[in-house]
Amino acid sequence: MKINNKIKLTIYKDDKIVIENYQELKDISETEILVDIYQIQGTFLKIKKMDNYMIEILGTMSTINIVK
Amino acid sequence: MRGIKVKVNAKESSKLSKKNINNIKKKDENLIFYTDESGIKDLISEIENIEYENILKKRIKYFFQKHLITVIALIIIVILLINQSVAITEIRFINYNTYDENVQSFLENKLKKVGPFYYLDDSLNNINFEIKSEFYDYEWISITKNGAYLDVDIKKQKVPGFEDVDDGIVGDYIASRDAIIKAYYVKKGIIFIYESLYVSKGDLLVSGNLKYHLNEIEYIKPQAIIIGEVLEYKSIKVEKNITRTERNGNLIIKNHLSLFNKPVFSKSPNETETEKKDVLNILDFIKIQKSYYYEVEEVKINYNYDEAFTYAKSLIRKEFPDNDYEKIIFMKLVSYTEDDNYYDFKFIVKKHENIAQFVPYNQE
Repeated sequence: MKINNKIKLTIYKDDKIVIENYQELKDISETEILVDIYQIQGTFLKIKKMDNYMIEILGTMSTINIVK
Repeated sequence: MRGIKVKVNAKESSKLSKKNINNIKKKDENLIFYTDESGIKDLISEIENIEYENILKKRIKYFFQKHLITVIALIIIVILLINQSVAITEIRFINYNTYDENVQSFLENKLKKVGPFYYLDDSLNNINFEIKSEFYDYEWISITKNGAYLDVDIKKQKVPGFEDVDDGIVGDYIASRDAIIKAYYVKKGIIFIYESLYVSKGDLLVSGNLKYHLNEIEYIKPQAIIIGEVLEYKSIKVEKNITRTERNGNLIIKNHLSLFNKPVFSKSPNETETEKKDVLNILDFIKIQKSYYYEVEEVKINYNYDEAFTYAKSLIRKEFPDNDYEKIIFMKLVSYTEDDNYYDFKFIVKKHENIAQFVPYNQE
């Protein structure tokens, strides 16, 4: 549920990330997914589900960088 | 349900933002994912170079392309099965010796032909109603549909004592005793009697010789029942004191185990009368039987005159056939003697009975 405009990233163990209140999916590959300011690196990455509010990413995560 | 598979260039990834999308994967320079009808409409308006296909339609198309012959064969089989359950291939008279040409043609008129198949032109209920009205002389007539067969169930009127069996032995019916003819039913044969006619034992009643009046011989087996009024004397001797073995009402139930048809651990009680029922039987190797032992004892019966008289009458009634045509009109005591051991009754019995006695024709 959308409660404010701040982007929020939640990590579930090392294999699932949910990003809420995102604005733009900038890039996607098996090793890197870029959503707004978050650069997620890992292996076998894929977007399981996406809608106008959230993105659910599955795979083996290694690093989350904040890029500006 | 995400029913549409979409392929777009990976550079267009930002245009996918905020869309309802599942399972995005990058393959070569393309992104492959699934969306729904509204999602694809939005994407088409934003992305020029886009490929998409409806998965359900694709799968159905693929299935029919791969299994076209199987599907056609299945449809044909289903149509044939449905047709078989509706069509009629044969009219069968299910009871022995009940074929009736009129019934057959009646039913054939109720069939309509479409190509090589025949179908009923009315409901089974209506045809059953009509056939019962048309052939009312049968005790029972009905039709049922059994697969592709139309089964006709006919039960003919039964006359007690009259057996509609032609075993090929030709001959005549003669009187088995002196009598006055009261009724007769002749299905086959030449009739020599009429009602109230007095006949003596041995008189010809119905002949199987069809050319009797032409002084020629052509025999069949006649079929007839002839009821005559008969007077007869009957002597019945009743013992005054008798001893009988009868069940006294006590019952013992026991289970017995048998292996290879040989009893194991079984001790039977001394009671003589036994009934056995199988409780378990595995190929006669292992058997468990429930045995019912009825206790019996000797019963002494002493008849007085009244009891002996009733018993004697009951013996006469017991040996006489009990049906609609044959009956005892009256039974009167003519004489009675008694000694130390027996009552001796002599009755005169007036009765209606079938006096037709079949005598085979001797061809020599």
